[in-house]
Amino acid sequence: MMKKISIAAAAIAIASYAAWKVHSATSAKVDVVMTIATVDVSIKGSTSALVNAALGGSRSTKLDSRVIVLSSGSFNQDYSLAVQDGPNPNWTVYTTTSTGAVPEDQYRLFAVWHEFNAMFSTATAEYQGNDLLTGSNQTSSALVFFNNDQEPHASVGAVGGFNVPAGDERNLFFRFDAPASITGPGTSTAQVTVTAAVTP
Amino acid sequence: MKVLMSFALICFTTAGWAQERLASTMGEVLLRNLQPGQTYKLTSLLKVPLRVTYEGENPMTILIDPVPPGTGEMKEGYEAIPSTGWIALEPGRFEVGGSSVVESNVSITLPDDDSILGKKYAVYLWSRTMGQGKGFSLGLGVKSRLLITVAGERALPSQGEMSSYMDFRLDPGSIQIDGAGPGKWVKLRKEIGRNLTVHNMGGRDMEFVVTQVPGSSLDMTPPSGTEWGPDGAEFKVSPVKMKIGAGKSNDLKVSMRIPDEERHYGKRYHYLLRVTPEGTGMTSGILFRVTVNTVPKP
Repeated sequence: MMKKISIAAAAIAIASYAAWKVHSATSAKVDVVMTIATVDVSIKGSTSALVNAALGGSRSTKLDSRVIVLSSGSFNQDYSLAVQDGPNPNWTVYTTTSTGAVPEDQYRLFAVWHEFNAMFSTATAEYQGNDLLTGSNQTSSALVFFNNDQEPHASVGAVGGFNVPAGDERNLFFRFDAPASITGPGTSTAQVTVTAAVTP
Repeated sequence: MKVLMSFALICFTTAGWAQERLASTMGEVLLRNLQPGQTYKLTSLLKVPLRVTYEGENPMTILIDPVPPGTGEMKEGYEAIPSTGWIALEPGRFEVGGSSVVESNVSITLPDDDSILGKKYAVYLWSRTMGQGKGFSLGLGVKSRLLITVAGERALPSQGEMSSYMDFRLDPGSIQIDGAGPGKWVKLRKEIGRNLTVHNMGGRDMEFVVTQVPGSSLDMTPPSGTEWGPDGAEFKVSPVKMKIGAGKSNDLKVSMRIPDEERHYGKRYHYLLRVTPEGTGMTSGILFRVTVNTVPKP
């Protein structure tokens, strides 16, 4: 008799536990909320800027060759930059170190966000190690893609590529380091991508 | 010997000044209470795909891929999605001859694993252009941020059909009010000099409800440099409920008042209004964001 009662009690306990498990499952609905509707970026600038450099030399893009990046969305945005070789490249991008000679048939690229002022241009020395473009997206900051040591012209908040208010423009300049030597043609192909994301 | 890099920053094929633009819907989207083991097809759930707009004159390849957050792209409280394989984009590659709008269907499939219950994951949908010119070219990219919150518990077995709507737009999506005085009513339309409008861009008539929501209810953080507005703020919205025909628009009248207390002077507050369409078995909405700079203390 006692054994039957124990089994019955155990059965009730199991049933109660199962019922509790069912009731403890959530009935919360799926909810999808668009907190920011769009991310939106525009560029305008010279389409014919040429950079030519001696083998093993460096050259910064000219002042009038700046790229103007417009934050054309409705919210503050951060910009990330990356480079990749273009179709049928004669050289490949070199990202190992930001100093020293660039190996044969390779090139190195830097980028900085910089104030635009007709009185000066970006010198090759203004590009620092943390301004080196690589194959991975790097988000702009007060250090990355900004001359944090020598920038005398304006605060990083006004010219940097992060937390850029809607409707604001920023100026982007590049430095090209030529290969130390080449085995083929003296030109190559590559693409720099400027990507906008809403500031987290 | 000199080497020449045809360093055309926009493209090499044309000279002079040009402009290109890339934009994507879904700047940031919260997906809440998702269940392990389920697949969520956003286009069928929300009646709208991811839309990417390219404006320019050049032939382009547009690629869209899911990518984990990079350095500087993490969202507080979220971790990087363990596998971008949870996200599918169909299609993810487009060839366009110039200005175009392309559409992709986004699906999210969560693994059937209790260990992800209650977790919060961030993932980006990276849309970008690939030029077809020679030499150096400059490509554009935009990243849509998806913030996924897995439900804390398994769902009841019978959830039924889920359906809602997101083929509508708020114009403008965010505004800033300067010089608001605590205790004084502010008419948003008057302050910004334009109407606040809900555009129903889809193919069906739809009913919408407008409510003020605290950011904490969506587990959000206020934008940098702002704080959530105090609870005692009052909002008057007219109409609160509206039916908007397919392809039609409706203007909103919104007034607000911050409590007349000394601590609200010289503040930068952020408020959220949520526009919620009808839904079955799920809810959806788009936020209208209001940043208010109050006057300095007299």
